[in-house]
Amino acid sequence: MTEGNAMSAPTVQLRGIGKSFRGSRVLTGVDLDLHRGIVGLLGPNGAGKTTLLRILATVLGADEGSARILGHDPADGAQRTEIRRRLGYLPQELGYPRGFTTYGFVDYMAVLKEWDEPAARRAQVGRVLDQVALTDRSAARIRTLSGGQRRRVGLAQALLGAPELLVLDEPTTGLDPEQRVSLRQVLAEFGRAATVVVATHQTEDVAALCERVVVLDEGVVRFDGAVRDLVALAQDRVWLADGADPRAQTSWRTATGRYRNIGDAAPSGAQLVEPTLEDAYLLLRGTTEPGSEVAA
Amino acid sequence: MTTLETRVVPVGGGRATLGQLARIEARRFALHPLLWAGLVLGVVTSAGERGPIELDYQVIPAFFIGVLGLVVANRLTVSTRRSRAVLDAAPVPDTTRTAALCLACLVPATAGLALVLLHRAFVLADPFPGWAYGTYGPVDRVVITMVLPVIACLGAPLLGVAVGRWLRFPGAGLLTVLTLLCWSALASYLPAQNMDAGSLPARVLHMTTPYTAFGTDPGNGTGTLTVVRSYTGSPVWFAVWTLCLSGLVAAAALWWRADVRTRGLLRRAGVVLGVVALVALSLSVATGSHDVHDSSRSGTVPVAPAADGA
Repeated sequence: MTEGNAMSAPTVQLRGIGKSFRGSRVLTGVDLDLHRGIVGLLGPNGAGKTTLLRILATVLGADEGSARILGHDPADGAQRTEIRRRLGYLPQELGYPRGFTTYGFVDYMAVLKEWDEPAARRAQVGRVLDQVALTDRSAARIRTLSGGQRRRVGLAQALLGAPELLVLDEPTTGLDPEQRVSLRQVLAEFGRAATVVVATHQTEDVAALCERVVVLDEGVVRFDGAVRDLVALAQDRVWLADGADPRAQTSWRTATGRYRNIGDAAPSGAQLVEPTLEDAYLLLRGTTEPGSEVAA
Repeated sequence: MTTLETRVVPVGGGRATLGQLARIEARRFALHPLLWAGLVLGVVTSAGERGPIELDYQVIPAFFIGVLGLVVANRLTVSTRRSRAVLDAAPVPDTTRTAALCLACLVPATAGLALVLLHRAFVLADPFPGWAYGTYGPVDRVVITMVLPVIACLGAPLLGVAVGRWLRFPGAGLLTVLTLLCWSALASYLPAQNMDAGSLPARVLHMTTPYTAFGTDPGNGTGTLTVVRSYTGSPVWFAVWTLCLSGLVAAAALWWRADVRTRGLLRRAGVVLGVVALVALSLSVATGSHDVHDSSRSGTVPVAPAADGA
């Protein structure tokens, strides 16, 4: 987060957000201020990432706490509509109505985002299809597309109108490496002018894209800060050794045949290596108790 | 993938959005294979043929366009459930999407009208004799053969939208079709064939349905039309009743996830439509013929209750 961003009014302001489903607590006391730029949301399955993103996308209300998104209160119907006019959302799982072509579906979504003037809408739909490299498949029925291409159709509708807040739930699922790199380029551009929240399991995406990372576990924010600060938590705690160290918090065999050990104790003959975001994330997951937040 | 262009802000909302959405839904409706199948079957079974007797003609568009239109409308409505996650995050409310689907039901209504007009052209070229219209006068004849079929082609698809919005279980559309067909068949023919058709319960049952028949060929075994049996009730008031039912069904569809203000408007519209519907239903029973008649070249005679059990 740049200094200028920190001083500007946050795009998203969450205070004490809590949410339960059928008595099961999914989010507890989430406080977040999000500014322009790209924020990565990491966490294991069931951590509450999707629920948090659905609250940001205004499709789900919080049970507790208060939220201001793009300067509006999502609990108020009229203000919620204002938020939605400036929001792009890609859910984790997006189905498509039967019979729609790629162009037809994005065009339909453009109308739902109030692009009423046909010429402007056509240009807008063409632009986002170009951004996700689907121009040549615009006439194809969605059911004939590959999983990655369908994902990009979903992304295209989220990009309509260059929203000020872009909420993406696992956007790189199903994309091949080349497409992921292209997507990163698009999102990097977006992040200059908008707030982009990306929930993912891919730590390399966060490392490549995000300035800031939020780690969520069991509905609680465990870390909120710069990516480099999270990585710094693992500094001097990642070792490359010939075997797995039983004292290590976690270890795994790498492609070179050596073992990557994460922990405080150095295995015998081990070589200290530069930590990655994944190392730091795994370390954080293993060392903090739910409810305790690590200061950035 | 390419880089971003400058930020652009959408324009519009409200009626303009509804118009655009209605165009998209109408196009989806018009391109649906089931609608085309219904139109082709309707043309094949009525145009250029004497088909069923003129008083029963409305069954062709009502079944082939109306019932199949119900299925199409239901499928179109249900199909967007898969994208619910992103639809919910769009600024355009669900009510607008439902209204667009309701407006798209003008497509099957137009198809029904086209079928009616095509049939009319054939009838004008080779007119039926006057007795083939039974006891019905000129206005009733127009209503039975040209107005009621179009209302059926509008109302049934509207019911498909409402069912798609409110009933979430699989097969709800099919169940609605079966219910509608059984109800209409029972209400249409039982009173005239198995009950004392002139009795009040029979006349009420005959009219209390979204579709009813106003006449039939009692059959003489020769395959040629020699007698036409006309039923009870007023076709004109029945048309008003079914039109109000269509309006009520549309209001029920629009009620789904509507905001407080819209529900207030719908409530008022529903009360007005409900009152008019009840008045029209009462008048459809109270006016028009109170008895079943058989008409032939030699004249019109009332059919005695349970006289032939035809």
